[in-house]
Amino acid sequence: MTKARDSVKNTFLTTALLCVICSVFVSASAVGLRSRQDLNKQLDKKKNILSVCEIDSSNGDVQRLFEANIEARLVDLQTGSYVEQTPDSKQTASSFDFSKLTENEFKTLDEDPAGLGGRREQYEVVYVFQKGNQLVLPIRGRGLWSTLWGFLSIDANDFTTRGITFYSHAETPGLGGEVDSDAFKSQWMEENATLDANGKVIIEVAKAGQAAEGEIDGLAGATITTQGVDKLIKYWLGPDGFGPFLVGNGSKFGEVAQN
Amino acid sequence: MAKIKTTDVLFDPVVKNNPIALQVLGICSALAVTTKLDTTLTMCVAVIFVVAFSNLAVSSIRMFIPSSIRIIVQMTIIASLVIIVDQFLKAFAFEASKQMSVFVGLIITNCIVMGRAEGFAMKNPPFISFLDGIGNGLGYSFILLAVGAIRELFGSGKLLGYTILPGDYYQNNGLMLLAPSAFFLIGMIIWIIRTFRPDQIEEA
Repeated sequence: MTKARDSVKNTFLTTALLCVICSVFVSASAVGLRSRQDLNKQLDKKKNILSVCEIDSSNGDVQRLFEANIEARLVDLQTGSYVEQTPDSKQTASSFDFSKLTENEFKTLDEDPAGLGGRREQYEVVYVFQKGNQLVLPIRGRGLWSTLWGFLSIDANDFTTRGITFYSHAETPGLGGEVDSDAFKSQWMEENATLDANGKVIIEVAKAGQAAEGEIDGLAGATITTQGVDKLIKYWLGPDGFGPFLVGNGSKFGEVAQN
Repeated sequence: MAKIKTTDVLFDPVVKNNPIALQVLGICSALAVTTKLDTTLTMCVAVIFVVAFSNLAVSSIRMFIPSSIRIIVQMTIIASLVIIVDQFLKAFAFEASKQMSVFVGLIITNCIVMGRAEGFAMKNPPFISFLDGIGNGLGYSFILLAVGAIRELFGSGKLLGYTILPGDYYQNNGLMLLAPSAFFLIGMIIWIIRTFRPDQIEEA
């Protein structure tokens, strides 16, 4: 028995069989649970959108609160105007899935300050919270270890910050990971000015402990994450991001929201 | 070899032969996931599941595992089980899995799982190995839950998210939320257990 067991033939046979059986179990669980996991991720996103609008969803009724308060709109980042669907992948605001955008719905970036991998999607979904007069913009950018995915909420009339959240990142816990701490997030609720009268981005995320009035104080011990947040905020509010949408056609947001 | 009693296999690891307190295995995750009791609970269930089923699987095929690759075979089984647990958590306990992040994956390197597979399941029949897995999972859970409860209670004045010690008269002890406090607590638990069971004391 032992001899047969330790033979080369049996070693290979055991390895092969084991790998096949294990991979069947692993893939079955991954594929079988995919739809539920995606649902959870979407719910988590909605929860984050609600949280930057300061709507309490802790009682668990995320879906209902979201539908009652938030309206998703698809924006053409180039022109800054609302569109019904993306031209190529035919996605609407409610069904929008970043990963389903086709190749020619991306724009190649010559300069890539936010670290988006050299290209940026031409269409994005923004979320309008009419009752709170807020606008929630999706933002993302490179930190130290990972891409930070989040939402920035701004006032619909004067574009001052109303809240921020990062729902996905892999920064160092306790240092860069503090981007999703309450202490950091609460600074963004203080209505800091983001754009000046000419539509120029003026918000700054300063080095920890060196923030002037109206600036955001960065994270201690996390210089690169702080710089990453600074760059991504400037990028997404700037002319290459949501700039055209916010101030583009010489219109203030108050008008943009209604059309 | 003396006949192994099922109740002994199941309950010995809780106090008498606790994997954390006596064998000092699985300390890493005991520090990381014990700041809040609900993540601790999820972790305990996950570990019990993985130890029990890895023991069962390893024991069922122990006659066929070539000794030269037995560790790799055990690792493959354990890793597969952990991925399955991770997938289930993402599907059914999303919040908890988000908080536990990498520590679910790190169950693979939890020495208890590996230790039981190599030390027990390779030599014993499937059913008793399965019970041994549950027993050791319970032993691990016992320490984790004790540490988790103390840390959440004194660190944030809550238990399972419900406020027990209101902030009006209780100042939260921030140290309890940091990893070193788990070291102190585990040390104290080991001290208490060994005071009552002097046979566990190792010779200096």
